[in-house]
Amino acid sequence: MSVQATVVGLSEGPTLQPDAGARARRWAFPRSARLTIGLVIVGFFVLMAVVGPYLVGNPLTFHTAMLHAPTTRFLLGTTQLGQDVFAQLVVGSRGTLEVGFLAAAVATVVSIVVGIGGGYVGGRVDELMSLVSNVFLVIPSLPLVIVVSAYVHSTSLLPLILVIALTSWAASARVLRAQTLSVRNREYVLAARASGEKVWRIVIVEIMPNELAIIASQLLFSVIFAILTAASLAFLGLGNINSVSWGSMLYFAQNDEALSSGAWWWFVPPGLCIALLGAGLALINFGLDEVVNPRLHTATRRRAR
Amino acid sequence: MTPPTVRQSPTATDTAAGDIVLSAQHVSVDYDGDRVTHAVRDVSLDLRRGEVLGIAGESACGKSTLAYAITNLLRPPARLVTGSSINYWPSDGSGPVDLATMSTDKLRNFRWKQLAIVFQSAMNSLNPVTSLDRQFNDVFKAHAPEMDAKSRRRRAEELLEMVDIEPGRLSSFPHELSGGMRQRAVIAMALALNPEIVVMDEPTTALDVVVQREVLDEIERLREDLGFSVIFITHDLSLLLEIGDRLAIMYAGEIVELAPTTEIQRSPAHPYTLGLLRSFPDLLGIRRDLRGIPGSPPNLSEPLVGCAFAPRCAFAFASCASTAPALRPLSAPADTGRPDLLAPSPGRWVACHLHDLAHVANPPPELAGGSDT
Amino acid sequence: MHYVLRKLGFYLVAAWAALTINFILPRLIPGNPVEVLLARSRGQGAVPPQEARSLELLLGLGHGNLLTRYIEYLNQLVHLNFGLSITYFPTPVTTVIAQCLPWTLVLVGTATVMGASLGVTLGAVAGWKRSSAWVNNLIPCTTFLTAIPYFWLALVLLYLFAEIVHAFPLYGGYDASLQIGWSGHFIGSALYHAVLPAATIVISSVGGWLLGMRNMMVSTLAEDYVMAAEAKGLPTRRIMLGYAARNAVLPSVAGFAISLGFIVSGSIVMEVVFSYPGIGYNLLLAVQNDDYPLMQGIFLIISLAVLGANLLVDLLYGFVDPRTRLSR
Repeated sequence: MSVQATVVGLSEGPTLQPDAGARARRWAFPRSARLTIGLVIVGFFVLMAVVGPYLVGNPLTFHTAMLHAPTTRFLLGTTQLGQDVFAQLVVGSRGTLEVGFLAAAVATVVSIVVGIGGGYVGGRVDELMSLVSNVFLVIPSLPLVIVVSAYVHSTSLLPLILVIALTSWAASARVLRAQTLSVRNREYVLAARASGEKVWRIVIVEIMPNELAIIASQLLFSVIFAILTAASLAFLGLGNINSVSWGSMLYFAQNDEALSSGAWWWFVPPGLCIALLGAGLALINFGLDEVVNPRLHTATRRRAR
Repeated sequence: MTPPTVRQSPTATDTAAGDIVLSAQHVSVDYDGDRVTHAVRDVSLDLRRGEVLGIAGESACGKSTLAYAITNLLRPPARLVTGSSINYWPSDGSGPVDLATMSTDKLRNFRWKQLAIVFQSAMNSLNPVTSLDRQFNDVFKAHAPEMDAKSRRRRAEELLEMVDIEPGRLSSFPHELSGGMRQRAVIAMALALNPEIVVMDEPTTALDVVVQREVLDEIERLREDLGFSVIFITHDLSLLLEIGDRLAIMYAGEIVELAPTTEIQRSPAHPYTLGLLRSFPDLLGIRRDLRGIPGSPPNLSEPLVGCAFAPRCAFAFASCASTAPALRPLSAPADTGRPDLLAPSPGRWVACHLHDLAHVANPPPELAGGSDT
Repeated sequence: MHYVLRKLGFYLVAAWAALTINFILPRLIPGNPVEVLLARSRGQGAVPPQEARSLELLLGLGHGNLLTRYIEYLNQLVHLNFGLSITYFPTPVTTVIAQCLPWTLVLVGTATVMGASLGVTLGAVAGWKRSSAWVNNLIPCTTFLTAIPYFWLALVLLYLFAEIVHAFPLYGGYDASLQIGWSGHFIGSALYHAVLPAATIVISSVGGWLLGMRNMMVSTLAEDYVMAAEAKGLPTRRIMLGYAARNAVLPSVAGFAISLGFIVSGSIVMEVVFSYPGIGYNLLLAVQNDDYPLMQGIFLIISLAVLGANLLVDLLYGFVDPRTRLSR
């Protein structure tokens, strides 16, 4: 969870040069070990989530072999109720990644609107939006998420996504706003304004492409955060525990005394997967930073229309 | 085709005044990377006691790198090439001290006491979160541990007064001072231990013209009072014409001309120097056409064949593209067998085939030693 | 001064926002929560008459328009009337919180400070050394470490050090047979029980601090004033501490808010794993029992505590970075 703590050190520090167009990044792709490793790890999990469920058995079926250590039939052993841990892990990856990416996407969209929009428009609107983001930033997120989930009593996906997005958009918004404030005084933006381009067009066409690197970076951090939050919620028994996810696996493991039974195959893999996925996403982030930064020291300007 | 000659180095023996305080011989600096860049290529020069040696050149000609090499502040990927030597002669007469191979401890001792450096941006060379008096204290504590708190404070106030800053500002933070004040504070700090040599890397570039004038006058005055030597690095030749005793003109990592300032101004020997002199207006002088120098400096990561300036030189001829000119003393007309030519003073060095008897007898009229001057 | 006022003002607004969120959220509860709560309370014992009214006000329900209800809600809060907890019926919520808050504060507070100090120091050293062998291996390890969920790490630590190696207790904040008090036995027992939870927090959070500090250190070392300090022949330690680290640590202090949020979130879940009698554990109990008054009270306390801590750190930042003292 403290990965996002590094957001402050990294994205707000001088290391990340945001004025790299996506075009330039594609060229500079190879040659970062971190990036490659990160992509491999995340790719592996995405593959697991997309294809995996078709290849393993039903994770919820009760088998007779209860609380068994890993065997050739059950690669990761069984739960106390005789469920296939490996199947749960694979199917759970889909549940976890779904929530993670969707919640992060919503959070990123909101942060773009508030951060870039507010930063560009300036004035009172910006001050207000900035205040709102800062307030949301300091109010602790998990207690809020817990309380909202508890009140809502819902087990469907949408409220969960919305709640997680609600508590995570603020950090990205702040970073994007800071960046927009500096980009908006660049000459090509001033030129666009002088030629009478509409505000929304300027934001989408001139400003956003130059912040793509930061947006991507923030999106990745949001995914990590969303996955961790969703897992925490599931672990506490909130959110959607009917659908299999890595967090819900840990919930059942804790409740069904996996610890005292020594059933390490039950509670170690899900958490390990969360950690690996998180590390992979972070590596992609750092790798992109490495790749983007040393190649381009000056802003790439868009061609004037 | 004549083979490239071993580069000679200007030494004290060929000039009249003063003993040498710092001598850099065959200094080369490479930047490691995908391709090695030769930022400084076999530079030799001497600094005499009490003089102002100016180093002028375009951006990226290697002058700052040279300064860092001399003061042993190079950081990776920059690397001092073996064969470079930098020697210092203390005023007490003890023998040469080798700066390039000095141990870290001795180096730390040497720094600031004997050699101080004023960086380009004063705002950035002062610790932003510490007050001035603490920064002065750092220097005193490191080099003069016998001083007590009161004497440190007194000395710091003295130094500030010396550069015309009110002593009360001692407790200020850097961001509370104006640009000119900051630069003067940095100069005061450089002089804190009465060094013999002060290296100044573009000390006035970030300041506006009026403040620039004040700071320059300050430097001049201090030098007269305290008698330290200065290596003054800048791209602004007009400054050096005022303040410098001798000038070294750098191009593409080499020194192409080295001479007393008056000589260079009166009759430049190298076409690049001529170009530089012509590219800014003389405030009080005659009106003349301003000309820039067409083209741009060569890429130092690629091997250079022949004279580095040849592609941009108006006077280039066949030998220039094939053979690199060495820095040699400017020949007196007596040597050329042309007594009607004006004799250039001793202590002039130039790296140009136009002045090399082996290649050409008569330099063009615009340059030193030319028939029309 | 301007800076201080501005910060105070902001945190007042944030506190107000927390209060208001607390007021609005119960609207999400389906059905009539007050009735449900009262019914459950009656099942456990006699309910004081004013409790119904209190509950209504606390949850922002009842009669009257929104504004009057809001004002009365604020009134309740000012009088510290949070109602009676369902889980610990009929103990008032304030008492429950007063009992469990110190546990969390001490544990989380100490562990955070330890984690931050360790992380920042290691980060400074890692940044200074730049590229020795162990530094290069440290970075990927810490990256992995920062992605580990708190509660999973707690589970693993518990498993390793309490189950397999019976070095530490399995649960609780103290030995239940001991009397709570300031006796040596009790404190010793409390410390003993706090080791694993504290280790969880420290291990999970140190990575973030380390990476942030290291990155800042690397970029600070490239600054001119560090080179100037070297040129001045200052001792290495002075340069590293006074010139490099002193400047590099600023963003970590500034970003403390985000970090604290994570630590608080993490500790809540961690307390559940260790059954540590702190505020997070009780929050979960409250959630499981639909104990809305307690939930509200805890949420408010956590928010205000975090805001308070952030205010302190912000003021500290103003002290540590002289550039903020200029009124901008």
